[in-house]
Amino acid sequence: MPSAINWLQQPYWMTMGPLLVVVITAFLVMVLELIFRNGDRRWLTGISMLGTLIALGVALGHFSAQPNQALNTVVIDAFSSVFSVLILITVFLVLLFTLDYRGSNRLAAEHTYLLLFATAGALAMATSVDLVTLYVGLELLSISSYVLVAVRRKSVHSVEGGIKYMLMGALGSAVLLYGMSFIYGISGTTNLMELSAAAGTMFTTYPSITVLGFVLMLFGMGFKLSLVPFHMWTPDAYAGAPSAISSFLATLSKTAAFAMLLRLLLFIFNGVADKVFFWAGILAAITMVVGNFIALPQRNMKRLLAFSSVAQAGYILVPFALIGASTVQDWPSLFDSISFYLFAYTFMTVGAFAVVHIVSEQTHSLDSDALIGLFQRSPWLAVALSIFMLSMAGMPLTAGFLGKFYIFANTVQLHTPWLGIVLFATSVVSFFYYLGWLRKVFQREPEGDLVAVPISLPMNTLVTLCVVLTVVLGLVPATLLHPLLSAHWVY
Amino acid sequence: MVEYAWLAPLLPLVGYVFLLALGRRAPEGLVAGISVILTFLSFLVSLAVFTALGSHPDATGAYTFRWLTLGTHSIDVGFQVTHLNALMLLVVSAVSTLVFLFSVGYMHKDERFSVFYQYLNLFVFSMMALVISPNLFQLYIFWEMVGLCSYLLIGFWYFKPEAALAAKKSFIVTRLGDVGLFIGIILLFLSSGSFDYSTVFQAATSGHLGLPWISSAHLTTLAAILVFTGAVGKSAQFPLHIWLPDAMEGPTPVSALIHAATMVAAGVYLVARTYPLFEASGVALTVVAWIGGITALLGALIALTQRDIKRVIAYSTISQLGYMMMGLGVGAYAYGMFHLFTHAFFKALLFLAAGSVIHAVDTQDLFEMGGLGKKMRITQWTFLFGALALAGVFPWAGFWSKDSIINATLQSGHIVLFWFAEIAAFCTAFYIFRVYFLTFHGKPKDEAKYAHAHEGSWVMTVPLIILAIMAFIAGFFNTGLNNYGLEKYLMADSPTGLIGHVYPDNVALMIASVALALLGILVAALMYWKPVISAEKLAQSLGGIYRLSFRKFYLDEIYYRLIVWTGKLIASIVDFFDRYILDAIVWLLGRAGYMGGVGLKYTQTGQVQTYSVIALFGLMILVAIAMFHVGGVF
Repeated sequence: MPSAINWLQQPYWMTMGPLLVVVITAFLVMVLELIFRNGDRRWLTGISMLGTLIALGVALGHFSAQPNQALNTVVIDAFSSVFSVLILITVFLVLLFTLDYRGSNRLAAEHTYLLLFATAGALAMATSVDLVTLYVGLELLSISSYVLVAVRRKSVHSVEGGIKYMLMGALGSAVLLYGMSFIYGISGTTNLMELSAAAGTMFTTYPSITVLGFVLMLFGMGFKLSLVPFHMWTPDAYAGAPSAISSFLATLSKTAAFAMLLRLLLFIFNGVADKVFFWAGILAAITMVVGNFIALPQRNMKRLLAFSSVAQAGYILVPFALIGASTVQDWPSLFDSISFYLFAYTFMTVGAFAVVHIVSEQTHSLDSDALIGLFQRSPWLAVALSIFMLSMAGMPLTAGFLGKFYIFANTVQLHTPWLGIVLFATSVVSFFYYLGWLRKVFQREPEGDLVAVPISLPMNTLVTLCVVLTVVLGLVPATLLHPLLSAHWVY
Repeated sequence: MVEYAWLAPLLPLVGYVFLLALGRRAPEGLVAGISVILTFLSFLVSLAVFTALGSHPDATGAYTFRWLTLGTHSIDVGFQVTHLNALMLLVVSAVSTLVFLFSVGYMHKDERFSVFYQYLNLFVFSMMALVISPNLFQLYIFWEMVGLCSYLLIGFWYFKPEAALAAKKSFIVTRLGDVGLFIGIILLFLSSGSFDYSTVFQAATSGHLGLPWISSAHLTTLAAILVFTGAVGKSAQFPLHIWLPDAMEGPTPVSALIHAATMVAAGVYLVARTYPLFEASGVALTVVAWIGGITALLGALIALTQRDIKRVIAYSTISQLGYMMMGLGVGAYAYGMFHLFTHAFFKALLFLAAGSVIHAVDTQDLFEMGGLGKKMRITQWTFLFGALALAGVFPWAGFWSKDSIINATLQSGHIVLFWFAEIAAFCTAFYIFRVYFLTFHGKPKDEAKYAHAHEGSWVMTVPLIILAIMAFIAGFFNTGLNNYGLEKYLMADSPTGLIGHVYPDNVALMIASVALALLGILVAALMYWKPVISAEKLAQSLGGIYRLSFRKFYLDEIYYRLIVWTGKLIASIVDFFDRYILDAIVWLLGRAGYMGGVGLKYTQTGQVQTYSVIALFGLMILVAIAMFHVGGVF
């Protein structure tokens, strides 16, 4: 036994630990799913959640580890640890979410291991330092996601969303690959470490090709992040997919894409950051403005959350764009802002989707009028939804406020106030639709007969978890900021 | 034990949450039982902390953890127990426990009994948390929370229009001071880079408080005076004292706890807590002394003629808080806090005894009472103890503490303030015995009310008796009998002498003060007990002066004309601007934004072809701009 522990403690395994655990769990669940064809198979989800927790434990163990590389492709560093932890927490929450689908409402059993494969892809995106591996990770995540969106084969909306997502996703992948090929063409390597060293020469020799590579990769990832103008698939996919899958798309898939975006562009272009990152700022501004304004007249709850997630991605892109205006000393603070916001965003978004799911299951309607009188029907859900909405809007004492506040502070510190102003102004716009929901929630229902909203145990747990995490991050941000500050961002 | 001091505020918070969970209809016995037991436990914790600090005087460090980091600055939260804090904890928890017990009888059968205890618990939590805050930031949060609780409790009987108005007035008037405090805290943060007391004091005493537009010395004075404005509002000092008498509309236990013993003393505590800042700026200290002296005299003069029993005691509180401020201002740090300590007991006692009277006869007008001593022996005797303590008669508690302050005022060379204090002391003895004789002696003025008067149950009399004992013995905590224990305890916070001076006893002055107090009592007796002098005739012959006192120096009217009227004028101008100009702009922006959203919505056709066209079109435009910008292609 000691030798086994010794063997497990090899740095080699530790580096790839979370990834391996998730992949093994995925295969295990896949096989079990083939063997046990009948009955309530939610225990498969239980196994998946267990595997996720183990992977999370391993990832947490990496948190303050020294940077370490294995097989020239996978690394442990602050990026990988922070994003792996967030990805694993997210998938745990999503798996919990899927437990609510049972009986006639159940999802095809494949969704469990598809989620895990998608997670494996996401972890690869967060941990690898090679263009090829990154791309493979992205495709693993994307293809699993396409299937997941279309998991309800009999539902027209689900299939339609899946197809649209796949077509637009393919377009994005093509653009991304096109950009990568330019960079490979002028440098002759796919390893990010080597590319990082070669960036200066690349830019002086081929300035336009370098910039072209940058913007194409940025836009390619823009499809995955649903940045404007590459966002148009988002509402269709989110509204068509089951809510659990929508919450997965809105959070895990975005976190992974942000991890990859940071890794890719920062490693390749860190030497010439001041010349290229400016373009991300333009994209962030367009995304914030369009995302928020287009959400204003939305009545469908899931479509509104989709547009809201477009706008939120714009906010997170702001500190990313600020890399161009900063020096290396400022980077940790920017990474802190990005990761803090992603954490906050994940909890409030999953929570909001959960509440929307519960409400729409009861009323069989996705129209936001289904929320009317929620406070009378279920005070707990009403309070929870209020917390999520206030946090998304950025009211003080919530996680969302602090997230935005840090980003805003970054724009001021780095002398790029115009991005901060756009952030601030569009946040004000977002109050209209977030608080519009709250008005409905606390409005009295005209009809006399009130039916209490039924909440299953998994959903109650999920909502409670999300509320607690959102509130804790808002009240005691140091719980997350402290580990973030002590991570080794720069090496 | 000191590291467990956080338990002291936590216990009432637990009580609050518990009562909240029980709901408004919870049975009285349960609600009161939980509250009294938890505050009593909190008192035991405070007592343990107090004594532990006595044996380990250097255990005064802060226990904090990082809450927020903003660039190079960070904000910590946690707690800190200095000797001053420990004394405050003890006072707050002791008085709270007794008031909680008393309220069981006083609030019996009130419809919102449970809500009352919720607010009280929340208040006690906030007050204790305020006391052990390790920095100005946390102090400010709890400062506002006690203000909120005070507002809620003054307006507890919100269906009485006077109560609702009084709650509003107290909130707004103290808010004026709070704005000053807030600006002061921000200035200190900007100039020293921290909210922590120790860092701020370090910077202030070494002359390192600096901002570009002001010199260090001036900044110290400015910040200290701004902090003091907060104290002026909270401790009802002139010119912001006008809210406290109106606050008497709240239930009497609230007056005893919040508006006599604890919250109003928070201002005094704040000055004491930030004392090194005031010491660093001599000017600020003088301002404190003068405001305190003026308040002490003004409060005593107004109290002479009021007809409402609670208002007399309220003005007395204002006056006594003035003494404390004056004590701090003339450098007698330990004496100011000593007076806070004794005052908490005898003033809470006077209020509770007054509450017992009001409970019995259902009126607050002194001229509808009379002769109650026969029916309410315990209330009479305990009130007498409180009155003797307040008047400063040897050897009751008030004598020791008030006389120390007067002595310090004289010794430090503030002659004018010394005479203010002596005149106020004479008035104090007179007005409180005027109340005593009018209430408990003479003939009943209202037979119906007299007939129905009776002593309250044990829950009301036991706190009175305990407080009466404290009103008698609290003074001995700082006499030769225990080797001046309290002042040594308090001065241990700063062995280097950063916190004022102490003075030896002055026996001649003591005799003079007692003689003055006895003279005041004698005059009161001659006017209201054995009417040798007619009060009406005296009032008529003093005409103008009497009216000045009775109308509270017309300060309310002056403020009303000056401030409320100007405020309303400005408000109406702003209202017009807001209603017709800003609103129009906002409405237009809103419409435009919404229409923009609707317009954008039409791009969302549902056709994946459109999506790709827009995406690719956008891509091409952006790539083209990027290429053009970098050059070398076109």
